[in-house]
Amino acid sequence: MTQTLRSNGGQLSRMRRYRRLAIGAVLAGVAGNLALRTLDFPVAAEVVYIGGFLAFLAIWLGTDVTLFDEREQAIEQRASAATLSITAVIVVFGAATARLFPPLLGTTVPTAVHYALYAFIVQFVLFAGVYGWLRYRP
Amino acid sequence: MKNHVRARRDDVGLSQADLAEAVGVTRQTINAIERERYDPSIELAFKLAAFFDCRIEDLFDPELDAS
Repeated sequence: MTQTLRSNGGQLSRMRRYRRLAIGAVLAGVAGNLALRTLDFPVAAEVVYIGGFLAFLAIWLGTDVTLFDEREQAIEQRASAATLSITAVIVVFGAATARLFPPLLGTTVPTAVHYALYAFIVQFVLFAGVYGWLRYRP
Repeated sequence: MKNHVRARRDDVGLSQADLAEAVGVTRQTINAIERERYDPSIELAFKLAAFFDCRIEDLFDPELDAS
């Protein structure tokens, strides 16, 4: 039992360390971006911003460390599904409401609302594509 | 799912953090399993059973949950 405790203990502390590193890279990228934009270095700001996310991806995908344990991944999946469901309700009722505005109220909804609805629809198209790939891949 | 993880852990005198370290998950995950708010994967169930040197059926009892 003690041997198991030691061997897996290192794995968990490594996960914590890499997770702090990954999240820290993103936060550093965002903080660096804000600071450099304030100092009027727009290009450098975006390089630092993207660099933070690339560092996150490198840690997440480029190492063999699992950043989040299985329960955290399950929570993430449930949250994603719930978000998608909420978005579906917004798209269905939002689109119908937007179409009814002109005939019933004699006015149109702001263009930004239309763009937001289109963005949600694109998200569902993307979801369908990813779902299909996962469902039918060999 | 009903389980005896808490009882087994108490028997060997380990904290949730110790058990979490041993099977490679967070302490919160062990807590959620013990409170029956999260059902572990087969892989984690096997790890827990191996750690306590028992069978999975000795640790988890889905029939109790159904009743």
